[in-house]
Amino acid sequence: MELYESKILSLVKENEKIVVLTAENRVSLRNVPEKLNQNFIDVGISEQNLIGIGAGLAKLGFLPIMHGMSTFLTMRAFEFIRTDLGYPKLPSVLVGTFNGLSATANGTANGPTHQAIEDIALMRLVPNMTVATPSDRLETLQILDNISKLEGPLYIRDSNFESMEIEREPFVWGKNDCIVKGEKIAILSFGTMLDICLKASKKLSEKSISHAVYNMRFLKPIDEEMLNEIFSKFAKIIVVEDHIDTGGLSSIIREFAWKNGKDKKIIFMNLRNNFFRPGNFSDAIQNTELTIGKIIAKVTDS
Amino acid sequence: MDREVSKKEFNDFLIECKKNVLKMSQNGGCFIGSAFSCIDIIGYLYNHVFDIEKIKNKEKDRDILLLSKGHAVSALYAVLAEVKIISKDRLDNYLTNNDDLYWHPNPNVSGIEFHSGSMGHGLSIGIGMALASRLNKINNKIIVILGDGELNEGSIWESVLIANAYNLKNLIVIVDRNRRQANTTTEELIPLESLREKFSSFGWITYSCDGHDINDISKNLEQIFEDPSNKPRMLVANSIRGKGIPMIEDNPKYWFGDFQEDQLNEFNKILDSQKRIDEGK
Repeated sequence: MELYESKILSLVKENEKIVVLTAENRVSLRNVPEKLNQNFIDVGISEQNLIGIGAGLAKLGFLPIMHGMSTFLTMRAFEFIRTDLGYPKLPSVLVGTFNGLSATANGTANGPTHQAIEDIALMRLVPNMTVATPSDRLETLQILDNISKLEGPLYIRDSNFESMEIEREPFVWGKNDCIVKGEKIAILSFGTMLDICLKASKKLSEKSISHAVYNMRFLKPIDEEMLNEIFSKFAKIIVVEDHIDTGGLSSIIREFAWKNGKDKKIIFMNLRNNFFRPGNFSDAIQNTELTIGKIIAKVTDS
Repeated sequence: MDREVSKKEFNDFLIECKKNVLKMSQNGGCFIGSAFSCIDIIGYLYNHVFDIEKIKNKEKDRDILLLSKGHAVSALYAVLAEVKIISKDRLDNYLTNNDDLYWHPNPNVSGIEFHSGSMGHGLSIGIGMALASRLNKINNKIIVILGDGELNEGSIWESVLIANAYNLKNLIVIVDRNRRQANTTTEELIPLESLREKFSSFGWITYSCDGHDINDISKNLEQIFEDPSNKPRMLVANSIRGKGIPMIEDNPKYWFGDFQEDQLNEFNKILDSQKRIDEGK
């Protein structure tokens, strides 16, 4: 039994109002259906109905956790998410799998049809929506531990990575996390890209180049207190995300800087406005600027 | 049937409901044609089937109506006012900043179980609610009124498949079959026939009635409620857009109507003349 499956089962055991739904995406739920009986609903390949059905359940007091591949979940069903979850502010959870470059655990061979590279932009657009971007399964589980307190819909851009062995500050809902402490340069990232950034960070530390790495696991609402701290403390900020340039963390940082009149050297490393070539993860990433080498170059290039 | 109502009493009730719609057919107007095609059935449900006190108190086992063809909401508000779920005075505030009544169902209004307006959502919401009833072990009815034009939406057919898969016997779809959509007839644009056969081939049990004949509505709904099948059920309510006002009946010009006072006075007279004088039960 996987960590995620055990968590889902224990959540339903504690709260029988939780209903687990999927649009026939069972990769992270293999062992769940037979144990949940009527609290598990597979609607087949129909993302719009996944959301509508979840909304009907939520309206009558249930807490739906709806699973789908991020691409289809956020795009195929966008209007249902906006109109049936966002507008009535229904407590509900969307778990999107296979994001950005990490289309599968072992590669992105599905290609552009399956790449979720604009999901954050779309979910940020929806009023009342909370957007969480955990970096590994451990963080996904920590987020799920808090869902009974939700006051509206939550989108989790789930990570396929098992738990990273890193030291973290205690998890606080809505707060982001400084993983590597340092000075001068701050690297801001989340999700799968955090792992790449930490690998770059390790090499930078070996060369005694001072820098910090922040795990931006909550993107909406954004932890402004931490952004203020980052903008006052560091001379240079580097944003790294496997999302198009519009609407994701790059946009959030630009909006924050403009709104607060911050004049700062900021470098944006993202997927621009491109589709990217499919391939195994390590190959696919070479087609983008999101490589360990390129991140190191941006840090050291002054 | 929860309570006995004389035919005359019910006929006059429907006329009052329709006159309520006329109140909303001015100063910005409403989808009067669409409202008058389904108001007889909506009126029947609230007058003969639903327990109004349960709806008012939002009791867990209340029956639920979802008007998926949200633009016909003037019919629903008209009936909600007549059964006193909302105050009749509020209809005077229609389309003003003083209230929440506008062209599509607003969940801030008592009796509106879920907002609608965008086509093709209501049936999936209804499935979620029927599944909620199953989880709550409640045997209530979830009734979803769909427009026939609305059946163009692919999401409806996803729902039709899913409701069959989950044997949602408490789910009842009523298709307001007025054979018109915004610009044309349904059969000219995207033919829907044979509609009952389409649903039955998807596993539903199906019925049809004259959507304006109270005896026929009553007979079919009773059969639907009593049918022992474990399948979802649908009723084709054959209807006429704008039914009751000859000038707008099946007239493509009056899907929507925004009328002047003298015109409305004339419509009110027409409706008053349809009140029954001496029919008993």
